[in-house]
Amino acid sequence: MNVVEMKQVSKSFPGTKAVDAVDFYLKEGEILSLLGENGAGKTTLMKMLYGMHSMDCGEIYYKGKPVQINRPSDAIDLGICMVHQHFMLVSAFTVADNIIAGSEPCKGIFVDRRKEYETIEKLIKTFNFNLDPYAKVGSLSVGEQQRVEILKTLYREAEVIILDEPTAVLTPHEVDDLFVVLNNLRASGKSIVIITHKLKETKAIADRVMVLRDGHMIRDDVDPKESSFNELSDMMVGRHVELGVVNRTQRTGAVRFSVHDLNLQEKGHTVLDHINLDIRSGEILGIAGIEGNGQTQLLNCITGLQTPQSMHLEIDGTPVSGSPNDFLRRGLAHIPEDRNAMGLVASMSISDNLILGYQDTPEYASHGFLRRKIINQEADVLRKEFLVKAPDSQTQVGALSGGNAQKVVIARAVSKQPKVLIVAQPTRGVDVGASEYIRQRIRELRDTGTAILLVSADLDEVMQLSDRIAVIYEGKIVYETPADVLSDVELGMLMTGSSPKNLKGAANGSV
Amino acid sequence: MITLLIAATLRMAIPYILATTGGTYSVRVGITDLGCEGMMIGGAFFGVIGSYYSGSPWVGLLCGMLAGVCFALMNGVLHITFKVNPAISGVCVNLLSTALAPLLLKLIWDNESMSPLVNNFSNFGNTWLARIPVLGEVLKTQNILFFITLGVVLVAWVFMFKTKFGLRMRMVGENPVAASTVGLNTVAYKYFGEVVCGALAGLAGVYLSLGQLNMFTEGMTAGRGYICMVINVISGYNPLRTILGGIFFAFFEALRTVVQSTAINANFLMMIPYIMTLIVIILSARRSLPPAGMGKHYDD
Amino acid sequence: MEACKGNHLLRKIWESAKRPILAFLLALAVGGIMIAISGYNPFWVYYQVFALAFSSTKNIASVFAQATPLMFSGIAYAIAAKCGLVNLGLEGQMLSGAMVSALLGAYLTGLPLIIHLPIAVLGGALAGAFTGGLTAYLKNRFGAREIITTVMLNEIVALLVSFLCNGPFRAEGSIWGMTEKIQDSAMIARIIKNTQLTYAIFLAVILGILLEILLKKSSLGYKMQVIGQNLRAAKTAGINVNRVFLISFALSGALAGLCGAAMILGVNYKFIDGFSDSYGWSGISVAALAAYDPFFSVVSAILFGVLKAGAMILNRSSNVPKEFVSVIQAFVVVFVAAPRMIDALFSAKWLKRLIPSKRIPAKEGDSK
Repeated sequence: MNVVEMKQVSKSFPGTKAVDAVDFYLKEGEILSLLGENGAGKTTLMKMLYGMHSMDCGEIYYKGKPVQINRPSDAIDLGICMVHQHFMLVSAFTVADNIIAGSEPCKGIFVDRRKEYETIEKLIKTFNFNLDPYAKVGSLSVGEQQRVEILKTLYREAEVIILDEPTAVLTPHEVDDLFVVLNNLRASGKSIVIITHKLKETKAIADRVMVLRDGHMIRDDVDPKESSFNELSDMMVGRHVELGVVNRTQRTGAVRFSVHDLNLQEKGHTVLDHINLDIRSGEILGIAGIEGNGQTQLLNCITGLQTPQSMHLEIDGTPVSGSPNDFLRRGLAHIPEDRNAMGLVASMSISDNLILGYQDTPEYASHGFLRRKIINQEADVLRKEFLVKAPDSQTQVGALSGGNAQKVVIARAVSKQPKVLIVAQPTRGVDVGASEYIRQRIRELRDTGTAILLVSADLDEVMQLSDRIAVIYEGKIVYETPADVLSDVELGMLMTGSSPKNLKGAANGSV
Repeated sequence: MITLLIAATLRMAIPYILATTGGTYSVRVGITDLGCEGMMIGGAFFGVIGSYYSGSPWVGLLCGMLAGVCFALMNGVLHITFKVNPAISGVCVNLLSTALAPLLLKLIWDNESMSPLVNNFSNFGNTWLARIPVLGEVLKTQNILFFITLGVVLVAWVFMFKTKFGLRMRMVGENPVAASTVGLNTVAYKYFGEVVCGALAGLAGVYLSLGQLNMFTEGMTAGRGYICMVINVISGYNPLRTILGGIFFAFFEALRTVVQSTAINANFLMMIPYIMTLIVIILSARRSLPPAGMGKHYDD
Repeated sequence: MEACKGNHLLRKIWESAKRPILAFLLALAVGGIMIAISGYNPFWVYYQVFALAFSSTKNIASVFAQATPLMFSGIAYAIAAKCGLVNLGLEGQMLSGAMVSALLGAYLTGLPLIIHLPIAVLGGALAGAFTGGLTAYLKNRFGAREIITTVMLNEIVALLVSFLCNGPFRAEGSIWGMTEKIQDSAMIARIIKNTQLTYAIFLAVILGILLEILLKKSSLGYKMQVIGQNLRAAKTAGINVNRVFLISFALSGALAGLCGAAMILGVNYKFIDGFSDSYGWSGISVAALAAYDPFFSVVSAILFGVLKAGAMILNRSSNVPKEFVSVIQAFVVVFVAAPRMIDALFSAKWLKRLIPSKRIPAKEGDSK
């Protein structure tokens, strides 16, 4: 029997049709994987079911009856709950307060604190969640925070639970824990939707797969056990993609970038532990690791955004320290992990964005004044060279698609012929075509002799682009290897802190 | 002398405490309480209007609170509905009410700077309260608003930290997106906090014109609304602690009136609390943080 | 083709100017309602205000005299706003500049005008820059939010200058708190005798133009705009955000200080306790109407000058209260600050029916 049915649902945002006449159904007691690329409309579809987005048209049936879901509270009342990709928690509240807020146990209008903590403690015990209901959420790890989110749905006695990219921020061990929880929930009769673009996990946990692409439902009854990775991937992308074009470096030179003895403590915790990295001219070093193992802080430290307790960093043998500007002037270019928040000014033109960070160089400014003519000319050249789709260089960056906006960031960094390039998540939220192009540009820059450090949450990307791979785990480089030596499974094990059998002592930092 | 000073301090503290408590409602739903100054002016002025036309300070009190609510609604419409930067919307409220009061003074009483005398709240005087040992001397120069203020603060504290609506309100202030995903109507909570802020700031204004005096004079709030914003910061957005913050500023204000005739310059004396508070704020800036969701909306 | 291009340019200008214009008209409408409530015909009043403002040389001078301090404070607010800063401390910065100018003007003696006047003016600017810069310093060093510190500094400066002109620097024999009259050599000359219009207005206009150029053409201006629009991107790009904050707040404070200096050295000739007609706060309205643009702040200051001067002149011959101008000033901020509100008002269905469809294309330009 179908718990939820959505019929001919559509939703448009200014400029795009996010979801186009999609039929969706969820059977009772199953785990459904809603598979699709970034921007395929998965989250939008589920947010409509949860009442966070209104539908342009379409109908929703819950247990066979037509229902109106206009706001989240309607969905919650029906028994539909959602765990969002970005957790919806209040850091300043305790675990228990976070769970009950909105549906509090009460005596009159007063919150019944005793009942609150009793209920929550019982819930935690029942599902074996190992949480302290009195702890402030701000002090919890990401995995624990996710458990709080799941408790929120259980506390509300949800029958349908939607999880948006639940594994994105988890370590493999936590992923296993999560799957145990999900299996338990299925056993107790809950129906679960997992929004994901990860094939491996889909195969591991889902009973059924629905594939969305560009707002259309491509397939709604794929059996994950019967389909190969390549079949799923082709369905998702819509054409056959040669996953992993490999093109290793031809020649490497002397060490251009080296960082030694990098130690960082935050709030008493060791975040980065004796990091040592050397990158040669013409080489891409990829950092493989689960998100949250110190990558962000590593990026911050080696670009000057954060000052670690100790670090010795050299570019072409010259020590560099100070502010981001000092790093920039020494020939270190940075493609930040979050382009909208850190890399671009949405309200400014392409041309203005292309000089961001370089506005004081003699190339673009003389006597404190910008050399507008040169800047605009160069912008026109770069826009064409990097295939940025825009009417002209005065177009606001905010009006560009993710892929084109990222091309602006890439163009800025690559065109400066940097000695060292720090790239983080170069293709996050970028469509497949643009992703391949961006990777190609990075390789071309490598071939001109730049030393490149790549950080990506996507292990496939790291394996495909890197000439050498360093594995980071809990702030430590636990293993370093030339590309093509280890399989993804072996790398995956290293990323979780365990060592594959044939790599004895690998995890003990024998680099 | 000491009793006089204490009594004066308490009298001066009431507007601070009332408006700051109002401010906590506003900040706890995530809205900067910059507009308190304007709401206080509105309260003070319309309090006098109410009392002038009805002869009863209680009607004045209602009018004053209503005026505060109106200004708060204006702030709400600008910031909550139309997403204006809360600092700018607060300034709008202040500019408007500073401009309106003299205009209306002129129109109603044809006077540039003050209203005629009206009926006000009288002090307790020599009632049974005055016979309470120790406290009696202080209490007899207070009026009914003294007890109303205590009640307001207590209710605010219980409401915010003990009831489910308080919990929800704080959640809206901390993380409006999260609040909306558990089904809360964040806009309604924000309007609620803003409206209560307006009512209490208006009440504070009423105390200035009908509690301490019996008329409205231009500029009578003298920046107290801004000070309330500051007291709110140092009291950690906790209604109970606003009492201490209010008394701190009121003490120096009372001291100023006491030493008015002496050699020490009153203005100079009055700078002390400001400078001390500035130092406190500077030193605690990184620790005493407002709710994480300040100025954010559920659909950001 | 040419015509098409011209059309495009016109539409672009209309696109950027329509909101301030609509906001101003709406504010006038609300002001008109106020006037109507007070028993006057708003059309007659507005006509009189504008007609009187330009009826004689003296009145025109009065318009520009009223506009002068507004120009300074408007530019001051705009330059900080471009950097994403809310400078609510203009009033305090203005007062500190005024006091320093008054003291330098009164107590430096024996200097020729060519030296004395610049010193007094510069002193005012520096005092304002110091007060403004202090806010930025506290923000950078301690993370104190400028909304709180500016408001505190306003109070502190107001009390301090009040103390100074009532205490140590009170003019001999005066009952009301005021400083000694400044020396002749520190006075800014009047452009037209017996009016309050001084040469300070040229300084304001020049500074408006210079800051406009700074903002649009220089790399500092570029950095200010980046910071104002995406602070995190600015930090990631290696822009020294703290330094730009400091410069921007100091510039803003200096202009507010000049506002005070212009009033003291050109109009009042001494610091009188409570002399300020909210010159600092008015800067917010002026800058808002100019879309926080330094040069257009000069223009919008003149517009407010017309209203203020016109209302004052009208007030002399009739009983129309001049205070309604401040109400209009406040509503301008309200309407400018809420572009969404204007859009909501003007995209309402009832309005589409009223306004012929010609205006609709302007909307399409938006989505491009």
